Amino acid sequence: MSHFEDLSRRRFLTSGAQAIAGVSVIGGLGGWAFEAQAAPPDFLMASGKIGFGTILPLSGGFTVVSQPWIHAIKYAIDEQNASGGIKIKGKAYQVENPVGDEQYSAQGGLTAFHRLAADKVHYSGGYVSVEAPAAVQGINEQEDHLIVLGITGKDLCLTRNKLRFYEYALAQATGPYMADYAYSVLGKRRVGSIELANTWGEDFYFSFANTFEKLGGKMVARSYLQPNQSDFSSQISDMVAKNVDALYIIMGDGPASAVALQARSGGLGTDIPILAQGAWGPEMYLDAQGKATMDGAIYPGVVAYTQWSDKHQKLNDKLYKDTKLYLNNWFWHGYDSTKIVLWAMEQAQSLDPKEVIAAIPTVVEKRSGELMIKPSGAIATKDKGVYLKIPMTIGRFNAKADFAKEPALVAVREAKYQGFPGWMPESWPGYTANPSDKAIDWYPTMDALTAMRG
Amino acid sequence: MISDGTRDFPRIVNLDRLGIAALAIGLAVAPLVLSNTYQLNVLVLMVINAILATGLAIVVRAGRLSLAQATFGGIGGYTTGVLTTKFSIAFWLALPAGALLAAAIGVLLGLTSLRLRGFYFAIATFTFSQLAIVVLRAWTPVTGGMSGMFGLPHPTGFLGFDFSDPRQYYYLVLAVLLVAELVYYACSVSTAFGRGLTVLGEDEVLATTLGVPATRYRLLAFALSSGIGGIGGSFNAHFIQGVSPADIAPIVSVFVVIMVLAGGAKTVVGPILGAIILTAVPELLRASAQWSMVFYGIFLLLYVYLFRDGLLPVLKSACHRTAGNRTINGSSPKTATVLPASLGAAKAAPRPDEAPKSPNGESIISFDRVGCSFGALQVLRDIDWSVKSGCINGLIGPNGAGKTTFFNVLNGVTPASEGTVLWQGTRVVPVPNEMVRRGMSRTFQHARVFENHTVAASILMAAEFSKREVSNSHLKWLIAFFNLQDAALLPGRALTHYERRLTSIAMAMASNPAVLLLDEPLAGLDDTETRQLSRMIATLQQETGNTIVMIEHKLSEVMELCEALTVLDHGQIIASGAPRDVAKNPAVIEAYLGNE
Amino acid sequence: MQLFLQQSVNGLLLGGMFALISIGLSLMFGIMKVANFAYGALYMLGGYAAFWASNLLGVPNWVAILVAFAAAFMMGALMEGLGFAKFRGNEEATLIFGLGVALIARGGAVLAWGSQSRFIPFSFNTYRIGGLVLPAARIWACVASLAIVAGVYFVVNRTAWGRIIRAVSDNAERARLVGFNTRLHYLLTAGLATGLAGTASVLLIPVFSLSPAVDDSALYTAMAVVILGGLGSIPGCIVGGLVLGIVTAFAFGYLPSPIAPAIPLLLLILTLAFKPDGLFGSAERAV
Repeated sequence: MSHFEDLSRRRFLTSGAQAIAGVSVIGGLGGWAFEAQAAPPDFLMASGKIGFGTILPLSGGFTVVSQPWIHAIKYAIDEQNASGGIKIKGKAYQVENPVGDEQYSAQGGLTAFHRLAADKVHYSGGYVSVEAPAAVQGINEQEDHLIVLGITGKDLCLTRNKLRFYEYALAQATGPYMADYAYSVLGKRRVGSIELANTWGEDFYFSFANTFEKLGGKMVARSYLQPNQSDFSSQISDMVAKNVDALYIIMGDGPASAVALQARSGGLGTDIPILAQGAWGPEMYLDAQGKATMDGAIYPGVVAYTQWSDKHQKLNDKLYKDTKLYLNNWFWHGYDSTKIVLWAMEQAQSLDPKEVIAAIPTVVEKRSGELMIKPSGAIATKDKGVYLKIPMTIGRFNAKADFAKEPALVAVREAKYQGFPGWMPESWPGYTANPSDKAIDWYPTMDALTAMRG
Repeated sequence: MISDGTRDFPRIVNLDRLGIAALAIGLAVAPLVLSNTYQLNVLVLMVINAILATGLAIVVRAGRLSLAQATFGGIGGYTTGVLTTKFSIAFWLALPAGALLAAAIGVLLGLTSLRLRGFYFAIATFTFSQLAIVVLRAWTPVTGGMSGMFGLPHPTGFLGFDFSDPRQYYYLVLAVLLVAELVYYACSVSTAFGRGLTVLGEDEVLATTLGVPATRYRLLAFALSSGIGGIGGSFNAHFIQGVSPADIAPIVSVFVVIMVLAGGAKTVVGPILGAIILTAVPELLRASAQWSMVFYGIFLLLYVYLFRDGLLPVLKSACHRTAGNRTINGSSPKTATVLPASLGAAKAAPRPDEAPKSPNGESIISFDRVGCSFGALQVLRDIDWSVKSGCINGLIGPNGAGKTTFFNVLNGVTPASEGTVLWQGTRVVPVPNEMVRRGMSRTFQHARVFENHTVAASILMAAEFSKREVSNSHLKWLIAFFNLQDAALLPGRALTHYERRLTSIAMAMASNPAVLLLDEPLAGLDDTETRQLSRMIATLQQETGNTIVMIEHKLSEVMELCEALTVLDHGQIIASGAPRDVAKNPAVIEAYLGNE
Repeated sequence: MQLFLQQSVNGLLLGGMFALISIGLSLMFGIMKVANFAYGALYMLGGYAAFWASNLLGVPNWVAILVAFAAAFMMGALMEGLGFAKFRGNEEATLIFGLGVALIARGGAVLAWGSQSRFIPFSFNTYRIGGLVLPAARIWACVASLAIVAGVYFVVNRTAWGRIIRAVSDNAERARLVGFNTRLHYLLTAGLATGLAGTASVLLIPVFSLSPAVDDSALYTAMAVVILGGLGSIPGCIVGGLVLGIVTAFAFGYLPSPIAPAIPLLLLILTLAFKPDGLFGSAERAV
């Protein structure tokens, strides 16, 4: 017997049904009454300026590495604005550069993207989070938004996305050369590796491993970095027991420093070279630890990263004044890729991202001499966007350099590894296939690559 | 929708109704006002957070803090993600599968942490959520590993609805939120389960003693909570069309907890408010880019300093003060204005129910060589005892003799380490909520009442939880008998010590027990109150014909009231029989004098 | 066999370091019964205080350790005085307060100092004994760990002040009635607890280096150790730390690394399910 008057099952169900019905009615009516008006496509922000946004981690992780990149985009835009802006059909437009925080996560990047889109920004660059849904799922296409990307990873840079401008070297292109260098020049035969457990890390592992093993070397110890992992002693000891003669670190920033430190004190002395991929830059060598543990690390960077000219000096001084940091790899391709997109707007005489992206290959051909990274053109694919052809150079980090006046990365002697193609040949099936297609050879060896280039 | 009987639960009277109406209207028209894609995205996220928070509030009500709600969301999202992409199952079929899996895992988690309380439980759930993420990250062929899964389809549309439109998606999840709200409502106010769960979270000892089956209710609460979480997570994953381990990091679960705490789990719409505020604030702070984390931290600090007890109580007391009502601790002293219907005026004078008798003449409850020890400490030793039916039995002895432990073993709060407990001649292993169903109630040394519920409601609940047949007349009689008419509508925390004592006895009597255990009922009362209550106890026994066992130190009353007396010293019975004889027993005299 | 021995050594060294990280939490959570969600953040800030002292002012290393202790001590006392004291008894408010401070600390650290790793060079040597690799930094950290835990045990259990703290945490009301200045003792204990965390942070910089991200792993590790060892038990820190260290080292050494983190977590859940008192469970029962 109940002493209370209760919520009977019948009342529960009817209330629920009533609520849902009410909501549906309002939703339906509301949807009809307030159909979103399609905005006239002038592709300008409310301020009348062209919006070119930056989406990079400002919090979370990788913030220090991102700062040069953020400023690189800003400098490129400032320079363009200073020389009169973008001239389309007789009118000159200034460019605005809103910055969004990717928070080093998929959700953060997506929300930042939507915020830019809401402000009628149609161009953006950056994107470090490998799972950036805005790029991976082509959400930018729905918003008519051209994304400029510089981080590799099959899922990120090889999914379908017509409005993507991929402006860095693919892992598949640089890995074989690293392997070749390690085997032929350094004479290494037993590599131990530690990587971030995502497709970005996977790309760098296999693109290296396939060539290395084809040449006759062995990948003897593969392990992963877990997020929040701070101790690597067990994995290092395992590598020591397996007699590795080179350590392949596929990650950058703080975690890489930690791995290197623990490797050096855990039995892999400085006679064992570090092969590096990821966010490595001068900021890692500003203290005694970095200088001692990672000096001489082998790293593929854009050609500009290994040089020093007046322009280098000017930009480095400016960057240091603004951030207390020095030029790094990302600075260069971020700087030049922004310029390419802005010039492409003038080339296409339009602000429509679909027309601008189509003009990129032409602009790169015409004005390559004005760019620091000296691209050899751009590959326009059917539905995966445009890929910049960037030459790369393998170098050794000179941790003891004076970063105020010298490059951090010193090119290796052998010409074979200087200015090699950092792009996959146009005939490569990866440009058309679905990334989950296992029948494709996603990580061709050096021989296969050379054959493809013909 | 609300009846008189539930008025003193988280109430929904005028001010509350207005607030809820305002909230409902706000939620309904929001997407018409905030209509660009970015704003719609935030609104959808807000509602999904509200779903997660509402689910979590069910567990919080049950007295547990779970730091795994976002993880259950992830389990739901991954399940529907895998089913829709790898097995091409339609979203609406995959959704219940995801919810069931989340619920099942929730029950599993509940089982492993049944005995844990407070922060230990929270850490167990936190560890579980870290473990789940490790599994999701490692199981790459199925879950996509660290990168997660992408390309999840939107829920299939029906009846002309197209859920790739964010605005329509918003109304979809709003409908889901309403259903979740109704479930939460059923778990908090308007069902026996809900009432039991609520008091379980407030005072577990009292609740179980009155008959609330703690384990079963908690497991059900976990199942519902994690099932709702799974559903919320699925809708999230199929909105952003992807799910990855980063989205369900442990810190996200912590934020869901904060949403519930900030809004307050004591009210029905608290979690929704919390979700709205704690989704809006980070978005508003987004403009500050790298400062956002710092500002969010500052916001939390401000919040906790200003709204220590949750947002709604502060708002409510402000409203009450504006309306001119007196407040005690931030809420008005009378939480209801009318007695519950079942306790209203009756046509005839109320009569108590007759207490059940032992059918075969056996002693209702007895101990056969019972012993009880905690580790090396033996508190009770070799107790042979049976209650004398139909009268008041006394249990006395010096401090530390083991009297309360005696009671604890009787009703199952503490297990006996040796010997047998017999109920009506049959062996039983006492469990508190089962014993009350059989017909044995007890009170505690410190008068325990439900602080946040009225005397009237507490008595009704006590009757309800016992699952025994009790007439309304019996309950009305109890209130009149203990002179609680004036206090009937006051919450427990507003009662005087004497009123608390009377209420606790009335609650124990509400189930019409065959045996009533009273632990020091006269403690802390002055002479007048002592005499009054003493006489009440005598009359109570005569009117109902039940059996009473009483621990007491006030020996003059004991001598007068009891027909049978047992004396305990150092865990053993040193004397037993009629009070006069026991008083002359030299061992008894020595025990009392020797211990002074 | 060699590898097995090496992993065992790794585990023991790791365990000692885990104990070092958790001694502060054991004081704060076990003795003071305050659930300080910002423990990891203060750990991190203590480390930065030492780093900047060493880097900007060029102080010798032992001074840097003192700076870390002092800075963390002050922050902990502040948190206690301005926060935990006000929210005593309100678990939910305590949780939100700690989280708020943690967010400000983490966000502020990234903002002010960037996310890259920092380092104080202590001792860079690596000893090789019988084929085993023994990094000097880790050994020093373990020695310090034992010394600190022993010191805290001595203070809490054998000194007059220790008795006072235990009395206060047991029943503050009664302690105050007897005449103790409970406020002061809470402040001192909180300061001591976080001060020890800061010290641990500095001592571990040569091993793990320092970045704003160390707060999470410090907090989770400390919680795990305190639970394994038993709440309220100081020697439990050592035992819990060693158990966790060895299990972690072997898991990461012999299992594929995606699975490895699950093992210590499973250990923790099983401990909570079957022996919530921990290995050295004290009078404080979780049930």
